[in-house]
Amino acid sequence: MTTTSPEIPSHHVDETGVNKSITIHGWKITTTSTSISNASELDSLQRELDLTLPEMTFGHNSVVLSHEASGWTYTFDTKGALKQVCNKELGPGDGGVKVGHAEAWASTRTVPNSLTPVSEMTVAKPYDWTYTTMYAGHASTSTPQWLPADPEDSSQSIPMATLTKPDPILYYAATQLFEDELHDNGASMYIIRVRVMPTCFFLLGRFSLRVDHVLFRQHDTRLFHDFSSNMLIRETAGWEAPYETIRARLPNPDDRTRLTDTQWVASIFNELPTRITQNKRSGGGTGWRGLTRRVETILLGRDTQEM
Amino acid sequence: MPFDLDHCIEQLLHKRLLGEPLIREICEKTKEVLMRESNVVHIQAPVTVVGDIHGQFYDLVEIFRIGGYCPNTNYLFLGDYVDRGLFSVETITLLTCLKLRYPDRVQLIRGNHESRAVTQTYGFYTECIRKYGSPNVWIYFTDMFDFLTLSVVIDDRIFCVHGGLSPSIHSIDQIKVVDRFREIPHEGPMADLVWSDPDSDKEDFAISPRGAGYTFGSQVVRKFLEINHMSHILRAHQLCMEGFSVSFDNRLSTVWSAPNYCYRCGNSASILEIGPGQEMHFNVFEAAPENERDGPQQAQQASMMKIEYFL
Repeated sequence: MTTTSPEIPSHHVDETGVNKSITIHGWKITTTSTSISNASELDSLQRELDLTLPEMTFGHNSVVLSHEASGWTYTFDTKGALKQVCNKELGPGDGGVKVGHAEAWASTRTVPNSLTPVSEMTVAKPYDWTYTTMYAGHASTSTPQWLPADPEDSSQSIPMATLTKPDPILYYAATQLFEDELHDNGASMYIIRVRVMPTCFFLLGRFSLRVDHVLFRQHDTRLFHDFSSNMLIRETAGWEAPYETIRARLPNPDDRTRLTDTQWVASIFNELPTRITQNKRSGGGTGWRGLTRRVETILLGRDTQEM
Repeated sequence: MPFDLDHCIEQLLHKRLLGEPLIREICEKTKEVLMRESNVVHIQAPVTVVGDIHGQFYDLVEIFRIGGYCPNTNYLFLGDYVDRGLFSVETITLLTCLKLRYPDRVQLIRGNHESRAVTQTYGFYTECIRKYGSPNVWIYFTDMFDFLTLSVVIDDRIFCVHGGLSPSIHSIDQIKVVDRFREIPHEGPMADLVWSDPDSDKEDFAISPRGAGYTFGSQVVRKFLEINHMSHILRAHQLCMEGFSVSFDNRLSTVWSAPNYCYRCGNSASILEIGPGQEMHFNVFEAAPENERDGPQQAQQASMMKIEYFL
């Protein structure tokens, strides 16, 4: 449909099969949301990434933001998100964790019919089984570059006032890149939502992790663009909190279902002070490098020559 | 019996809930049946084997539509009846009634979700409270779960379990001596049987990078079958897009019976029909049409698809 009115700019929304796109103000935003990958697709992705893939790997899902004048595109896809998952022995800053009962488990086990403790048994190829990723999307070209935003300049931060205005939403889409239930020890997932209003677009890509009886972790990427400017603003931030800290916020302690609701968990992260949630020593106590907040901007040219 | 089971089954097939006192009685009676079963139940083909259902009630009814209703078809369910889907109560009530009505034609194996700890997080507990206003129904069912068997052997040739093998178990006789009448422990052979996964890149057992639990490889499968004079291992527990997978040179199969898992994976599902001569046919199916009008819209994750002014 094409709409023109003084407030609503000309735009075109197209929904064909698994793709939903909008063309507006020289941008095309396309969201793909479809089934998990099949066995042969998983095999080839697994070989390429050298990583045991999440149980639900939505290999075809993506959000692509394409700036028609410059030819620049910015993509969120499953391969990109999983490329940033550690696929070897975890080191300092990787924020590695074990399941809640790991110690108890290892101490009680011996290799059958022998006295060898289980710790001497082969451990499967190490990788980050929590699928922690700080993926913030990736651009089609290395230029233009993201530059640190000027904290003094309010035009270089995401304008919450604009985003809380009940402007009409011309386009809304959500998609999921992966999810893993960590063998019922919690959940790990990456979900992207995008909305387009008459004057701007806004995207939120969120990695959420729950490891039962251990911790909660979250990493958000927010992208904002005001159609009247040539600037794109990107804010990335990570949080962590001990499992019990979030659990103590449950309205009914016997009903833990809310802990599986990543939006509810995000709202609790929002309420907790950052000296807990973004502190490498407190928080989950893992020393994860993602516990920071950063705002960057990128300037887009009118065509590729200008870059 | 003071209640009419056939009537209960009829009600449940129409997705009508049974009253709390009735569920209590049904669970008590079912426990008596399950208590007499060995940790390894021996049955004969023909039988139709069903993998994870996870409260996807309409897809369970779809299974009966394509595989035949009880008692015309014998069924072996490999566990994970509850959690994640929207209708765990309806699903487990129906399966329990069928087990009680046809104890020799319906077999229910315990999955890792047939546990108090897991169901408190993954939905069954909350659903019981929502539908009955108290946790009683959840208590009746989870008490009954402690009595479910751990494994089934078909025609002395096919070993069936929810998850997989355990490094503590070489011979099937070792399963028979496990004390199973309890909550699923964190460790030990009982935990392994409901939790472990195959890894076709490996030969032996390996510890998962999570720090607990095992994966088992090709030599483990070969040796287990040899020692126990069997030809095949049949298990569920792992989602696959195709609804089934066959690995280790046709020595192990995974059956997955929850189509469009969690109402968003878009995967196929299957049931495995095993004929009198142990010939196997994966009957692949898709999500039941009823899910369209009564389901995913209410699912929690679907809330992300709802237009909202997220920040």
